[in-house]
Amino acid sequence: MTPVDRREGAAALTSTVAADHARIIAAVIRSVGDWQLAEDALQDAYERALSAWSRDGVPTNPAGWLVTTARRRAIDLLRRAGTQDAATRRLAIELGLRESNGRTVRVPPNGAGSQQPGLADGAEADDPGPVATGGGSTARDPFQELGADSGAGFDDDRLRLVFTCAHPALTMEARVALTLRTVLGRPVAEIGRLFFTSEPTMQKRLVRARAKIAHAGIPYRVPTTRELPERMGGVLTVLYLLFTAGYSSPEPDDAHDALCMDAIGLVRTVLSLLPADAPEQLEASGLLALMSTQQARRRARFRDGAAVTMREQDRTLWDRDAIAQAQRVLDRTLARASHERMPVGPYVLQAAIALEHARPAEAADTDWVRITQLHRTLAAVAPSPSGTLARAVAEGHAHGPAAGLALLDGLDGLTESHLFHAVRGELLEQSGDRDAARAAFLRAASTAPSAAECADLLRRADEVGPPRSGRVP
Amino acid sequence: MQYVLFICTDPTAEPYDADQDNIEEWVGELQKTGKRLDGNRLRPIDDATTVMVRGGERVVAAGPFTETREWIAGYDLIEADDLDEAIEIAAKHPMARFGRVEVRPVWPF
Repeated sequence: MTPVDRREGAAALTSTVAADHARIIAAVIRSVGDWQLAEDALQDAYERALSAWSRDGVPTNPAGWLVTTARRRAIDLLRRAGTQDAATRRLAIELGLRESNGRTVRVPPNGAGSQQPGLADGAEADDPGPVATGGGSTARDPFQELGADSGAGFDDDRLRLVFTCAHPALTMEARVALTLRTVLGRPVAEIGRLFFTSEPTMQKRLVRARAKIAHAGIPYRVPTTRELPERMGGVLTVLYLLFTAGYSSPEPDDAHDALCMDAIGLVRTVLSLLPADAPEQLEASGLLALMSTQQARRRARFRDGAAVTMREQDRTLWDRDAIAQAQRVLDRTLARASHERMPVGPYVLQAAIALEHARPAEAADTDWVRITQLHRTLAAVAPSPSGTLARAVAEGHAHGPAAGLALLDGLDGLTESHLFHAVRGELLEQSGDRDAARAAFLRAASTAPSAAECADLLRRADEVGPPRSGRVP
Repeated sequence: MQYVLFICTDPTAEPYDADQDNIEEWVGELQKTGKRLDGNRLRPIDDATTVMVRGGERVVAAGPFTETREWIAGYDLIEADDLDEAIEIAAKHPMARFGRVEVRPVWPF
């Protein structure tokens, strides 16, 4: 390998991490068992790669290099810990005998079976470390598993990580944060921003989540077919939250866009795991159609940093192919549900609503009666305040503003939200009550989360028109 | 791994139904596989005594250490491969329906 300049080394590391982070961390977790140790060791390996790759050139198998180096770092860290427990764990890593869930350590009767990690590029890592050497290896070598092939094994790794990150024994926030960090390799600072908290605070929460995985014995594996039904819902929730975190950003950029695409990719991976006749296919397919439809409109959703309502969006910016594809997924899902007389769940219904909105070429052609029907079914299956808000808009268009306003009256919990007042303003405007509409838009503007949205709501207040003449304030 | 299952009462759970209580079956199955290492019912909280040493002085109080509508009615010490197996075992305990079960990993010294 020939030396490259530092920038080139850094670029090689960035592209390796972007393409392979999940596979790399999965291999390190498999090898060292403990999630925190794997994370710490891999961070070290990333730092070492920066200098080593610039000095010695980029290895032919960068991912393998990182795994081998991380494993040696883990052994080093355990040696430094100096406790009996650490020594046992170190031995297990050196012998390559850790079970997939990281709990059981078995020493082979003949004492052999140790292996030499880093048979190729990895051996040139700048920290050779006194790794146990021995005869031929019978244990699984994570380095060799990380060859050029990135086929089915890649999905397996991602699925194992996803199901462990989304385990119901973790809090919902920990599940989402851990998925962002471990499966998608997002920087801790970025995850902190998504949760409106600082990097050190997020770091602490991630450490706590990894500690719970170790202490509570959360297994590192894909659930069995029998367990899948009760685990699937939680995984889909996490994936939709990932998507929403990227989608709802008031400043859509490449990072948020990539997050949405990654979330869609993970739903596809999860779908591929399910047998074709599994009932969970329905909701997973529904979620895929929902996310794809939302993502297809992303270029039209913001103008100058402010969210643009569906009615005002420039529909020529929508990705029509993606919408047609989502429609096919939904049609297949609905056909199957009706054929097998299975009830449809909230994701399928939300996808149907999203596609009703996305299909017409003009906003005026929207079938509000159909959308209202879908919202009513959704409210019966999975009532939620944000669902009621969207339903109020639909009822307003389909059956008049009074119907929409009546629904809003029951939404006490949302009166602090700018969306609530924006919807109320829209319905009041429709009903001809201009003064109340203006007041609602102004109230919405006062609680808007960004300056751009505030400006947009002020504009809408302005467009309602001036107060009626003769009205004495 | 070892886990302790704290068998708790819960006023919001299904009312207790003696006919549906298959605890013998639950214990029997786990004894067969050797997964249940120990376990007992606990006398009601009226029979509890709380002991503290404060400033070197022993304080003994009647009753549990907190006033509560829910209390621990029993415990089981089980051996499970991982949390998922422990959850599986806990979910089959009749008190998962008539109360609730807290699964706590044992923290060995």
